[in-house]
Amino acid sequence: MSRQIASRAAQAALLLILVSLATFSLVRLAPGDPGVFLYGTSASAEDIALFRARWGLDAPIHIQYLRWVTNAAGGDMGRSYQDGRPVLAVVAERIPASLLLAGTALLFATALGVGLGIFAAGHRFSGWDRAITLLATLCYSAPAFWLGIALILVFSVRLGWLPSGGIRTLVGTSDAGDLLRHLALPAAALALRDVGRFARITRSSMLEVLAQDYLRTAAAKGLRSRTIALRHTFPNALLPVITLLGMSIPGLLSGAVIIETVFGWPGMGRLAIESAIQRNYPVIMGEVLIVATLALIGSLLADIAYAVADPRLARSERE
Amino acid sequence: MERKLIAPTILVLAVALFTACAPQAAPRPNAIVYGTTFQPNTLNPITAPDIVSRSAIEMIFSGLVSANEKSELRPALAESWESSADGKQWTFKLRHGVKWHDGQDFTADDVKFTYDTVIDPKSKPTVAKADYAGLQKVEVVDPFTVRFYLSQPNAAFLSLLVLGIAPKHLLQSQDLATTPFNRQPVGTGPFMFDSWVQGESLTLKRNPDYFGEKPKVDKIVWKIVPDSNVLALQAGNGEVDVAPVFNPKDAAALQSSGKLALHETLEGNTQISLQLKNPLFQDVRVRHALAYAIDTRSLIDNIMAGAAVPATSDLLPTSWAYNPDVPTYGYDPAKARVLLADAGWKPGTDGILTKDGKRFSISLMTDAGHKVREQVILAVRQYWAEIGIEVKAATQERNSFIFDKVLKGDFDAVLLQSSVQIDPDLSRRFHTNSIRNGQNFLNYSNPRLDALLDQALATSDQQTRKQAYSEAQRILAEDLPQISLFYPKTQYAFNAQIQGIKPSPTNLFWNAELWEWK
Repeated sequence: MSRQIASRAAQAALLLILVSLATFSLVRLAPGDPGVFLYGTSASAEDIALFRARWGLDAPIHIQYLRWVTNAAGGDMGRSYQDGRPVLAVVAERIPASLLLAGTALLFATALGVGLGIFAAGHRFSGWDRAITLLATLCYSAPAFWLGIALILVFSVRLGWLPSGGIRTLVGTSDAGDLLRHLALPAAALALRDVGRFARITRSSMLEVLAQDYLRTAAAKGLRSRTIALRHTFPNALLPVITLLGMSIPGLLSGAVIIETVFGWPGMGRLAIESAIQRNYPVIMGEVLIVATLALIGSLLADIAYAVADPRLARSERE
Repeated sequence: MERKLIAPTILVLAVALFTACAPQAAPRPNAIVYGTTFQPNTLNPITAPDIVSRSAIEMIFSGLVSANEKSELRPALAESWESSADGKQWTFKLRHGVKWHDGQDFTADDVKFTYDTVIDPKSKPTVAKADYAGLQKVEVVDPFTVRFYLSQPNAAFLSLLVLGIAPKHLLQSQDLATTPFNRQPVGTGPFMFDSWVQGESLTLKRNPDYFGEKPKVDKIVWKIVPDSNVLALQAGNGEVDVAPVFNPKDAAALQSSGKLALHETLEGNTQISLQLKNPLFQDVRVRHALAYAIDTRSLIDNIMAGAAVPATSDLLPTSWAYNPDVPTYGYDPAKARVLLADAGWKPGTDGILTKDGKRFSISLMTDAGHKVREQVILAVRQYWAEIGIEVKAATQERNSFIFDKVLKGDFDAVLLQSSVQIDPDLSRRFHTNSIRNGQNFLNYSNPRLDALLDQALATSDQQTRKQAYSEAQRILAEDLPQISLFYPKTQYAFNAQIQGIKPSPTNLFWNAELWEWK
């Protein structure tokens, strides 16, 4: 197990270097210029040149990359062109909002999705099953911005129950309840899509396991169908769900770009869009690298969880 | 049976929980929330050339002068000024007793520091240095008198002094690009910095010691609402008190509730710039034909839902130098065809005009994502196709469009919106000297226009200037390096209970200290 983790860590370091190289090339090969964002159509060649000189953009591109790597290795990810703050601070202040939104959504999506999936598998081909499958497919295929706007129209505009955007009431009192009210719609919009994914994958995985002989034996022994589903089937159907969870972890931080934009949620997804529009190269690099690191950690955690959920994997590793 | 009720019960409880948290109706705080899709880059007046940053900055900082909704300049930190007979020296008497938001005294040293920093090539980035190129030095005569020395007379100079004055005691020996001051500014304006959460909001609070009329509201909050559809919903819903209306078709719906009032101001000329290096456009008859072929009225009615005014030049009709009496080109495709035929263009076998074996085929581009401009280029493609011109219409992401196409002059025709300046000087876009630094990306050069523009800058007599600009506008409308289409109306929806809002074409907040709840 520990040997596996060590080799995965080495792979991760190599991957991060490749990611940084790929991102740097992609971002810098893209047309446009950070100075244009400030000066617009009335930019003079001189102003653009001065801007580039200030941020070292006039050096050859490979030198710029080497400078960036050297600094990043020492923990200095550079500074935002926008206001000159360190990139780490710029990115870090966005993390809590994204974590809260995506975490809440993931929690709801897992609980609801897995529950619905188990239920649907237990009532295979019934009306319930078909209804859940239809709902799951609808949720999964509805475009995020459409779902977001639809929720706003119903719950903010029509019913007036919940605020349509932002993370808190800007003028007046802002407490935990206020935060919850602001969280409700974006979290719901984000969760609904994943409910579909989790329900679909749990259902099909459950069905696969249900076809096994030992479950027929359990039923023949006279166990209650609920016991069979929860104690004997579900744990064995868990692996694909864990994989899906592991894959969702980087999404916790990379942010939900579209939902954050629709709901004006100040998270990482918004930051990604803002810095891409501004050509704020250091911030784009910093954000990608942090998210990549988390993706690697997420898949590592999923591997460990695999081993725990399926003792056969851990044993084969020991042998 | 009861098991079936579990899920609905949880759902009801969850909804009840969220709604129970709704705050009780409290008295309205004395604050105004402005909803916007944009946020400032920085709050340092020296480093912010962009209009979004500047409209926030102008509430926190005062300049020597300030502009009102008619772009007229009024005293601000300067009480009075005079220029020398040759127009090369400007002397400003400063207001006494003005305090920075941190309590320090404002003096002439701050003025000198601000402008020295702007013109110093070593300090970067700053506001456009090209604008201040004629400023040679700034001299402190006494703590409340300051003198500016120009290399040549410049009538537009005063309008550049709206630039916010920054505090020397906080900014000297700081790196402009990275100083924390960029996010925690200290100015002399009617509002003080309170907080700024990136991507969420900017909050300014009342400055009780403001030297002018004291602000009437306690706070002005910018709420960042990135999606313009949601912003319109929030304006209708009362979640924001003031908001720009991006889709002219939303305006009527917003107004019908009776809770919102609308205010309109004109935006910059939406125009088609032609690349004059391209031989296709060098014949003026061709440029005239292109203009005659476009039905501007129909663009305004159908795409702008009527929320625009036909345009004749880059100057707005509200400017003192505006000339309404210039040649215009009403929709007349027949005349366009005649002009093109006169210029030697004959329809080829495929219906596209040809001359000397060359087809009249051009590209027409604009920035992607701007709904109005996207629709306009499609309409114009149609109009020009009707007179036998093949048009490839395309859009490109705004940043790369401006950098790689517009500023490099790498285009045939581009649809742009000209920026609005306080001073009517047109040199930046049309003077031959501006070709060199890329600002005159049309590559338009007309010695007669150059002479007029130079002459207008060299005098401080407004009547003489007005005559020169009238003539300049006539020459441009006749020569037609760009085809002016319309001035869109910026519409602001605001809570009808707010009074005092009077947007200028360059800044909604120029009189924010006078805004108040009824």
